[in-house]
Amino acid sequence: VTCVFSTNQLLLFSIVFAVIGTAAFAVMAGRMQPESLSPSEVSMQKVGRLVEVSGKPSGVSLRAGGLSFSLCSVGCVQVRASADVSMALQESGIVDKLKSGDSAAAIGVVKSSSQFPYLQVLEQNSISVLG
Amino acid sequence: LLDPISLLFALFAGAAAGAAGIFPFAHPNSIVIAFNSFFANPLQAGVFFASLGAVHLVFSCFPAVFFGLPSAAQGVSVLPAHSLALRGRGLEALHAMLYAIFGGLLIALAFAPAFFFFASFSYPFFEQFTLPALLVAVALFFFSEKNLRKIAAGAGVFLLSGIFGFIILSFSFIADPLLPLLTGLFGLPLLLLSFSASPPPVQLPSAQVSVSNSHVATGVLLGAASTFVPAVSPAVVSSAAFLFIGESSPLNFLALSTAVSASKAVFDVESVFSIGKARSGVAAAVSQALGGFSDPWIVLLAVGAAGFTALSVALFFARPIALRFSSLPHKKVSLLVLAAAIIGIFASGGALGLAIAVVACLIGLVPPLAGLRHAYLTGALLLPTLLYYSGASHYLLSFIRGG
Repeated sequence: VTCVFSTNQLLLFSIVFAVIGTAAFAVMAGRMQPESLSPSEVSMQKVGRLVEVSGKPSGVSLRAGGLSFSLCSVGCVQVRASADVSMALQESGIVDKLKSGDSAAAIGVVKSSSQFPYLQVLEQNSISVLG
Repeated sequence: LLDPISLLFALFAGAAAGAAGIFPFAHPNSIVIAFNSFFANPLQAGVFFASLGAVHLVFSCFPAVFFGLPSAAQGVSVLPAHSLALRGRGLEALHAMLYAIFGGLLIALAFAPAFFFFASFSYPFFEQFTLPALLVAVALFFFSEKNLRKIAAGAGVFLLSGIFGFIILSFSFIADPLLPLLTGLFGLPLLLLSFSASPPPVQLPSAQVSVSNSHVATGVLLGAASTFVPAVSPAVVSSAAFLFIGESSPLNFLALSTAVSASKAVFDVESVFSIGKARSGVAAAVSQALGGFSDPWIVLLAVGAAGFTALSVALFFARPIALRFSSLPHKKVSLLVLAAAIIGIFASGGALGLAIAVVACLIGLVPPLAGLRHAYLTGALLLPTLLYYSGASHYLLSFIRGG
């Protein structure tokens, strides 16, 4: 099937899809806003390459769809949550995806950032179990 | 903190960085390395790299048609574009490529959810056939040649580049051996030869282009299938495909090979999430940024939004940019690009990196001087992959090390 197209038509369709694509991206970006814990609600301590997260994770919405904790610190580290966070994960109904077997569930991969000590929660479908 | 504005900023920043594809020799992997630490937030970084890859794909069409240096993604597949440009039909070739990207992105994005679930479930089954699939792809590629002399010569180049690639990639001579290896094999030879190339003549206007939609659809399908097999470039996929499709016009060849690249821009990134494999430099950067994530949709939307925006800009400015390319002092530009490449390789890998690039360049000069397809040089990646999947690499390395 050979298509004879005019470049003006192609330009028009490209603009339409660019607008639709950017709008859809903006909508999805809006839905991915993280909820954060204030520094007063959690405390973190670097232990080697791990960061120990303790404190009650109030205000964190743990969605059944899954989540990833992205702890912002300098350098790429892993997060290990305390029993409080593990409990919250169990209550969220996604505990079956965690295999750490103890109260300290490892809950995500962390990338470097200058926004330490905020804890960001990003919606996603599964959790990388570390540790 | 992360908010929609910061993600939109990452999208547009990636698009701006990807626009560097308009410069000859600006390989996406080099741009990715340059901006590796630009965003600290993983999601921003993922969106940035996905957007960069899509926009680079669009803008790299300009030098691929009008400059004597095809981009690595298109390799030998764009040579028909050069021949069209030399006949004053460069704009027609460019429009056909942009149409193929438009169709390729549209179809790939439409089928992305289906591919995600299909790949997630079926990859563990297909993975066990990686070695035979690779062998079939390579065999088809060889037999797409018309005469035995070219098959034999091509096999020689494939083996030579493959052995060199195996040695360079197996021993830690430098931290990032891919840059000098690929630059030396694909970039430097064409750059050196471009000194003797003549600039394209004045290009004829092109308001209507006729392209086969079935070639575009086939390209998308092949691009999706290629994500199941490592180290297979769009040029190899396209060449192998024409064994079955048969002879075609240069425009349709361009449409198919460009649709493969467009489709791979979507499916390579998606594969990071569906099968956990990165099949390109951009996908590897997305994978590195979003290692623990399993939701590809915002990243795929970034590919679509950035890709279609870049297409709009490219189509709008196609004619003036094409004219500008025609009037470029090609030899001076080639010299400038050559100097930048040498500095970049030296900065990345030092004197050893330069030595690797020089040897790779000598091997890379063989195909254009012998009238062979550049895609035989993909042996540098394909042969080590074949050896790895066959288990032979272990024995070979033991033998080389004298163990």
